Amino acid sequence: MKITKTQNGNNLCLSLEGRLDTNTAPELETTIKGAIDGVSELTIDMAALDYLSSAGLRVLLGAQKIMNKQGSMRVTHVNDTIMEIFEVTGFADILTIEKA
Amino acid sequence: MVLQKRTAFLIVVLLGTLCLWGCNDKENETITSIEQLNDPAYTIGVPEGGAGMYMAEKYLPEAEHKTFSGNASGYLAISQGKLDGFVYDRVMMEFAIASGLEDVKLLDENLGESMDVAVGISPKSRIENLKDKVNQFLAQAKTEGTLDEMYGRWVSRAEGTMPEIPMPQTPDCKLKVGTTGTVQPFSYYEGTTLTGYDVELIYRFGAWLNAEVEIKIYDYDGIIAAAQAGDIDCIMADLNATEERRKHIEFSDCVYPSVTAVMVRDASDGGEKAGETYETLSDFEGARFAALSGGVYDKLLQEVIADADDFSYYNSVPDIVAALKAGRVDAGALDEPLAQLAAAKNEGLKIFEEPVIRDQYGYAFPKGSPLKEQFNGVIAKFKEDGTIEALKKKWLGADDSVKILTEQDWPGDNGTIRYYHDSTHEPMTYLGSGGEPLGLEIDLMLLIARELDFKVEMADCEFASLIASLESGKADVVSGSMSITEERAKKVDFADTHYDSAMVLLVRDTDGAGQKEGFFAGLEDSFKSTFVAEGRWRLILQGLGVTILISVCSGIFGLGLGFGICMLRRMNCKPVQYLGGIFVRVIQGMPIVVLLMILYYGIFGSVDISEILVAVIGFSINFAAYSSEMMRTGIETVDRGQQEAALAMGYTRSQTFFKVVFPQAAGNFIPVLKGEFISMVKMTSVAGYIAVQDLTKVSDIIRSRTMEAFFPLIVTAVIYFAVANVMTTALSFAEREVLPKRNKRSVKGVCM
Amino acid sequence: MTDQQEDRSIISIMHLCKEYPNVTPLRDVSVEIKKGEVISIIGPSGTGKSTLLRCINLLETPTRGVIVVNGVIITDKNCKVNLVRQKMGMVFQSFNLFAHKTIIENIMMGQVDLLGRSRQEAYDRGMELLRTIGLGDKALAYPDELSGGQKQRAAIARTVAMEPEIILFDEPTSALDPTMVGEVLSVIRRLAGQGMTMMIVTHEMKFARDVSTRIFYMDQGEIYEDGTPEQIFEHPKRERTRIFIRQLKVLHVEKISRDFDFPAFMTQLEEFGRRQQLSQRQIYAMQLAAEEVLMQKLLPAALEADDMDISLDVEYSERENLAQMRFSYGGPAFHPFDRKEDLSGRIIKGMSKEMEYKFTDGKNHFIISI
Repeated sequence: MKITKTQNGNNLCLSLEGRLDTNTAPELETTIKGAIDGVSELTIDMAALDYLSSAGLRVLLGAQKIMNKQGSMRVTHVNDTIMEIFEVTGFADILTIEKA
Repeated sequence: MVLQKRTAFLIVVLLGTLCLWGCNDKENETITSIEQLNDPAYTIGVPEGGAGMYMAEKYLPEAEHKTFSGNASGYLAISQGKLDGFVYDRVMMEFAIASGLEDVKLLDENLGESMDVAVGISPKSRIENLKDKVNQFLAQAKTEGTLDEMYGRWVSRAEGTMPEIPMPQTPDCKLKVGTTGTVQPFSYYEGTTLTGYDVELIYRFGAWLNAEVEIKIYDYDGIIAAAQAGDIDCIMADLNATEERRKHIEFSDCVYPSVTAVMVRDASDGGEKAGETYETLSDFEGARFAALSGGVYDKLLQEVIADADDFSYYNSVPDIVAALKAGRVDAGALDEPLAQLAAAKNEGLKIFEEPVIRDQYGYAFPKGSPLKEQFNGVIAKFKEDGTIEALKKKWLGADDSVKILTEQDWPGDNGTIRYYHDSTHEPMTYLGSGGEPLGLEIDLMLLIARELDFKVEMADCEFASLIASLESGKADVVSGSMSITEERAKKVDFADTHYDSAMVLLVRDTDGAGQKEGFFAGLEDSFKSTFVAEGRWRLILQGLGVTILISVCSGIFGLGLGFGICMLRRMNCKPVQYLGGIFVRVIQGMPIVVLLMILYYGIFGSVDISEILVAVIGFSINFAAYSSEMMRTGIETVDRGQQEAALAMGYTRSQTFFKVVFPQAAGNFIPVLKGEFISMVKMTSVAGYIAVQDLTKVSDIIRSRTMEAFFPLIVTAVIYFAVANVMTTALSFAEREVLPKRNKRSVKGVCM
Repeated sequence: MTDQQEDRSIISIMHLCKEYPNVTPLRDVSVEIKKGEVISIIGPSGTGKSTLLRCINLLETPTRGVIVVNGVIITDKNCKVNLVRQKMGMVFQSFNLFAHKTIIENIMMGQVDLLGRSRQEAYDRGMELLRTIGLGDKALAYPDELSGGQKQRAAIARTVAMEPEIILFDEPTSALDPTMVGEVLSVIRRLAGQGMTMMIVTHEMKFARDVSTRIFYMDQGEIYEDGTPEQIFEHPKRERTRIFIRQLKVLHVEKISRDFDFPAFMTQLEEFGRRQQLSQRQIYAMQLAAEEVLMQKLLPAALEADDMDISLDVEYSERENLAQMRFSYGGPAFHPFDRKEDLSGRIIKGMSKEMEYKFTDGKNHFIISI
């Protein structure tokens, strides 16, 4: 999985490309932990993300918890299948999701 | 990166050490006796297979020996300091020194005993009793004095003229004679003609034997083998009859005995070149002089300057000028007017102020002629009013455009003077480019005639006949740079001298300008002697033609043969494939020189076949071996799938090969083949081993005449380079035609 | 599919056999092929499918047997093979276009050299063919400038230009990127629609089913079963056929352990799904199920226990449009998603139709239906 960081002042955007599964989730977690200090707005761009499993969900949950304290987080460009996952697991309510 | 720098440094140090080691200070010791050289510290050069080699082994065993394949390389090595001594035939080396070889001298002692020079006889000759016949001929020639006369003409006097020898009209056999063409004055090339003592001997013997003569050229190493194999019937090439050679071929009786001498460096002249300052005539002691051949300058000079015996003779003043500029001589002994002309035309030369011998020119009259007094009057007047000075400026200057005679536009009421003059004494009396008479004396004559109101009728004649023409009454007055001498004054009357002349020395103007001329003048000199002298450029052209002929023919035949072998190896028959493979392996593993010699001396040994044909066969075989491999590889890289597709479409095997496989294979191997071809062109340079006169051999021959190494070799390299490049361009052009162009915009033969 | 099916054998094969020193790809093949038939040859690898094809056009020489094409005994020694081949076309797995000629010249070559047509005629026919298959603008290109799919289509055009009576396809799409398979298959489909007699060796099962009039299932050097696509794919008569067909629909993995190559298995699942022509969502759900069950639950548990002997069967039923994933594992009885609030469980539950757990014969079975 490829993670591209774009930082604009206090806004951090992480674009994900590939699969977010058991093997690649730890990488995302490390990246977030390392860059999240002082970030007030975190965006996770999933335009190029093909696959998301429970491991990925857990990392997103962790990030959401941190951002709830220091700002806001949103997830963008979610495809239909991943959206379905968010919905059946109830994550659609926990995360701020922007489809466009 | 560091490693590379370190390696480079080490290599430089290594090379430097080797150079220094090579430039050992052996130069300091002067060698005066042969015994001195018999020491391991000295290096002796010996000619490969020659008598000198034999003598050196016998009498100088302690010294280190280096073999050379000819005398020219040996001389070069001595002057470059690579050898301390060179052992060779005395006569040859004297001849070389007389022809201009410098910085060397011969030790007085001879090395070893004298050895016969004889005619080599092939044991396989088809002519019956050839040895006896040769001996008969030699005996006859000796008694008739022919051999002595030839020796005098070719060797002692270095006249270099070949007499007319009538060729047999109806020969009853063929005589093949081997010679080297690289040994002056015995067998050498003048321009493109083979000439020399041995060559004359060959023709004489041929006439005596009533045989048709064919001359073949070999190196000394190859010539014995050629005789042994029966390629030639006999050898006439200044060949010493050594014991070693007697093992392989027979020899006739002695033609003349040859003596071996040792050449060493003469270091004494080294200092003269730089910083030469001549103050008085005596400073010229021991200098090297140049003079026109046919004169008596040497004797005259020796009366004035002691130790003036180093003379080189040249055919023309420009030749002397060139020699001076190149530093080959220190002074030219010339008549003053000629020297003036030379100095005017050539920067960097000047006339040494002190004349050697003074001289005066004058017009000559029959005894008791009334004209004499009249002339004296005018001459005195002209001297005073500067007319003569003006004439000198006009005729002795560099500007040739002003050198036209005064027009005879006066009435001439007092009569006509018949004036005979010589025409070979520029600038006094000579002929212009259109054959018209020119010269200071002639112009002066016209001016005097104008003063005295005479018309002048001119005629030219030989200098030697001028006085006779006065005595016989044909001429009223004569002139021609004629010196006023007591001897002559007995026969004729002279007018007062109109020109104070002298024999002077023309020297380099050492103000720096002269020195600089050295290199480029030297280059120009080298150019002239390599190309221009004796029309040697024609020889070079011939050699080039042979090289190109062999290359192109071998390329074509080799390619065809290579294709054939490649196809054979693709056949299904196992033994045939195997044989093809062996052939390729064997040829690829054999040096081309060895192959050529096997063909020439072995397989075609007893067949009378042209050497060039053998060379073409040899190079074709070699090229075929390499090109067949390249073709095979090229073919194998074409993927089999395409062949299957073609077969599946209904193409036959051979259609598939020629339409699908070969065009693609060609695209693979043609570029590589180009490189192989150029390689082969360069390889043809060894064809000289089998007596082919290709470009390299021709350059060898020229080198042996000019004694120069650098220039002919560089020229040869440049010519090969040019030929290779031209051929590469031509092949690339052909390649583009044969292989399909990639940027296709249209399909052949259709409307799109 | 075919408009006309004349009752005429154009190829008769009798007791064909091909032997090599260490292997015998064809044991005994006897079959009749009629004009207009489209025959797909399927079967496990190395069972002589390609060899059969290559014997028919004599690229391989049969060891024994007789082949008759249009009344000509081509296995006879005196037969002019190249003339026979001109009536048969072959399309290769590796395309085999002539690299030194442009595409249009590739198509013109055979027509001009072998059929004697004029260059203009060959050119016109060739351009027409190229345009039909969508390669009109590539006529002047060289083969190495084309993609795999384009090369194969051009190769087919080259064959069609010769107007053969039968075209043999030797695994035409096996060397192609999955994205280019479709374009080549559509060309072959169209040819079949035009009534060309064809024999196709292929691994594309759905395609074989759609386009063929007859299927040869080859196994162990002979035509094991021969029938219509419905017969072979739905009701295979013989044992080995049944196993093969079934295996097409079932993905079976055994002895899954800690060293399991997970990414490779994900790809396997994807390929399986594509072969069955499942939707992207269905494939995703299968991968999720595998990941959640295996990676999140079973394998971590296996670390503690010694050897859980985990295996997985994936089977797809087209009738019910149901992909079933059956996990079997040893060890004590436990349901992977006990806790209701388990995230993995929620995902699977949300993405699947049904989940079932049972413990029988000392083994755990967990079945997810997607």
